[in-house]
Amino acid sequence: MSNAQTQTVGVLEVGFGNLPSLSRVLKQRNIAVQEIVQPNDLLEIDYLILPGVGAFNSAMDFLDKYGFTEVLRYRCLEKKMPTLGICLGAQILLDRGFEGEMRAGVGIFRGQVVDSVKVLDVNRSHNGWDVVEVTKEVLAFPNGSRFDAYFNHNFIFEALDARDVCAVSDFGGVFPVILKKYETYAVQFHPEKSQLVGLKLLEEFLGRPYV
Amino acid sequence: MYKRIIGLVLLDNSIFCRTRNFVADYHYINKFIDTRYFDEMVFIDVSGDQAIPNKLIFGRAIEEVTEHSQLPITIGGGIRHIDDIELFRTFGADRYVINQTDPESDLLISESVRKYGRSSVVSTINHWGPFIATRDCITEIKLVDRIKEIGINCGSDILLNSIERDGTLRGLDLAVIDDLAEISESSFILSGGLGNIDHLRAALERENVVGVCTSNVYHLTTNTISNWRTTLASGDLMVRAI
Amino acid sequence: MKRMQYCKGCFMPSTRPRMVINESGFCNGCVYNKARKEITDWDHRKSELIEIIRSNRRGDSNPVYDCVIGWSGGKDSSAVALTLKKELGLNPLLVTFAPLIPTIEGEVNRKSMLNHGFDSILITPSLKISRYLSKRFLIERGDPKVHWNAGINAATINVAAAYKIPTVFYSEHGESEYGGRVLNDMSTMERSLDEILENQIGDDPRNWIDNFVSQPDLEPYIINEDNMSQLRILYFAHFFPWDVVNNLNLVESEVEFMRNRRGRTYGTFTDFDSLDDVMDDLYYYMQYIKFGFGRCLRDCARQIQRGRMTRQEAYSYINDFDGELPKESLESICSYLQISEERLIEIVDLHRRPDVWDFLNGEWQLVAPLKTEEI
Repeated sequence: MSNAQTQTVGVLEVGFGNLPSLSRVLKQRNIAVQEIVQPNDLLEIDYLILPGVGAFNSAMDFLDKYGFTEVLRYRCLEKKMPTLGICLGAQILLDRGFEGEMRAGVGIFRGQVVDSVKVLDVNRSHNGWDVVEVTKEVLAFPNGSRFDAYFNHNFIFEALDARDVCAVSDFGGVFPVILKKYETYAVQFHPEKSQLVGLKLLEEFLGRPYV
Repeated sequence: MYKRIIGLVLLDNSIFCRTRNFVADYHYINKFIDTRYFDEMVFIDVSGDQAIPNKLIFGRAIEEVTEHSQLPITIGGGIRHIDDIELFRTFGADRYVINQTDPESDLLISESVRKYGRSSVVSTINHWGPFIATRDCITEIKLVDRIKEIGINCGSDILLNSIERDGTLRGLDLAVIDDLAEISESSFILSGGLGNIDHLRAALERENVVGVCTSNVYHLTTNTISNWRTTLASGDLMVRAI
Repeated sequence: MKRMQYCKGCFMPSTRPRMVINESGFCNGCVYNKARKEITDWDHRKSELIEIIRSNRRGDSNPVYDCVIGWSGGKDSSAVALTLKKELGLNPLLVTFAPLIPTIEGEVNRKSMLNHGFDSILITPSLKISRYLSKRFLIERGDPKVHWNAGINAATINVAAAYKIPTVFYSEHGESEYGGRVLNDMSTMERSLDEILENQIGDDPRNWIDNFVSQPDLEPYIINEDNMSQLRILYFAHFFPWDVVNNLNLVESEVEFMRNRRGRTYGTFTDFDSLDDVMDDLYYYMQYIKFGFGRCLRDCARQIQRGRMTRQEAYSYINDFDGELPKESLESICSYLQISEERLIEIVDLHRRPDVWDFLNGEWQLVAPLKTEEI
């Protein structure tokens, strides 16, 4: 069953994302996609999703080059408008990334993005389904609840402000997987690939009850 | 991390099929494929037809099957060039299967990993028991040697396709996976020979096996998979309960 | 999409699972049957069989029954029973796995053989489970008898093991006779577990557990490998010349044999084949829906291969009868499956493959029907 009400969400793809697959899932829920073309569009749209898969540095090259970075900061920190970063689209919202050389991110969340292999006791990428433990109520998931979500990443959040952390996973060590500040969410996993729980998260983000 | 039960949908000129030793031998409609109880769906074009019209109907067939699903989707079959990946991305692919049986493909693998990230690439290697194989012949090259040769120049998972076991329902090739555990830290997905839950359990119990594929037309329907999952999730295995 | 191709010999189409049409345009069934005509060592094969049966016996083997025969009461399995008794002096135990919807013809024909002097065991599984599985498999797989295929195999194996009868007979190896996959050199002589799982059933029955069906419910269908390891399962047709018309003649000469009371069987020109289960009418109709060829084409193919029918005659029959909807059988089939006729037709149509069927001008049409040029 999907929400009968139609809504439009702005999408700014960073990296070689999965816009086609995100769009397909949004369409299932009667959500239309408007692709963000220029920085000012970021302030016109009520809800914004930043999906992305790929490299932090290339993503930031893109955002810096076309003038999106500053407007994103303004949207999230000053205007406090609802914004959802997914995977790489979430990672770029932190202060900096360490993929090779250090590179500045958009800087919504205090902290950095680091190679999981360097900080966790693992030698494989976090690729597959894993358990998410909610440590602070977020998007209608109560504190203490657990759900399964699909992950596909090598780099992880290192959040320096514990107040931003709403959920964690444990893969050779515990690390944050949902961050929230004002109305901005950084989600490490892929809600659009996490079946019903992911749909619920997306609908909650869009301010709609999940049916 | 959970172990994965993966639905492997083989499409032969857009008609869903089952193979035996990699030869399509039973064609069927795709209306009864239920993706709900899988962890991931893999779609492979087995037609060998590189023409664009065929690729487009392949994409349409995928869209039909995934119309109501929200799962990771992996697509492969005939990826010979980095541009082939772009086309599959428009079909909704999250990951791409690239055949890495032949060393000639190593360059394409490293290019794809560089451009799309290792997590987006799945290397697949075809074998017959301990030897590298194609549909038409079994070579003298050992699978373990090829895996050693590949090293870390591969996708985040290596999908091992047993041509020998393909279509037999008699069990996955576990002997090779045990050999590989000694020489490689890669994570493997097994395909070929899955017949019943005992085979599935035995494979998923191995530390270096992260997932198992089933491509039998009858296993892609609701009841079989949901029952396998419920049974395995209630035991010691890390399998998602849905 | 690949266009449906018809065998230049027997008309069987390339859509039949595991069918291969060679470069000359002939199917593997025709190739096999041609080679079969060259066989001259039937005496030798008969001796071979006698030796196999003798060497199979162990100290504790059943002293009364020499073999088990998977038996429906039809002309083929009855011919096997009569021949083994007459020519080899064997005493077979006939094992029947109950048809889903028994017919009068089936019951009469089985009784005739019992009157002649055979012992038989009838295994009837739970109707509650059988009906559920039949409906499930009709919907998911387009085949209401998947579980029956498992059951006939399990029944003979389990009875043979229980009675310590070390040899089991089936009529013929379908894959080689009619165009399919021959797993290995022994496959035309002996049935293996691989053959049962892959070609006969297409699945492992243990996978059928769900909210309604438990493992104990599947007992009649699960192939017990330990039991199987104590037996040899042989194809009669490897050791004796095989011809369905000769089978019919033999049976009719020995017992009262009832042909189809209706006259011609739905979907074909014959009145003497597969008469024991009303569900067969739907089974063969589904073959037509899924693969574009029905009972008539199949029966004609066999006659062509035996030199009893010309392609011209076959074409005419196929044109007239292939894919005929079994109207009068629908009521009992729907009653068994507990669905309406509308729902049945709905389910049936879901199984039409896009490379086999087109929906044109309000009706279903074969994309590549058999044409006169192909004769």
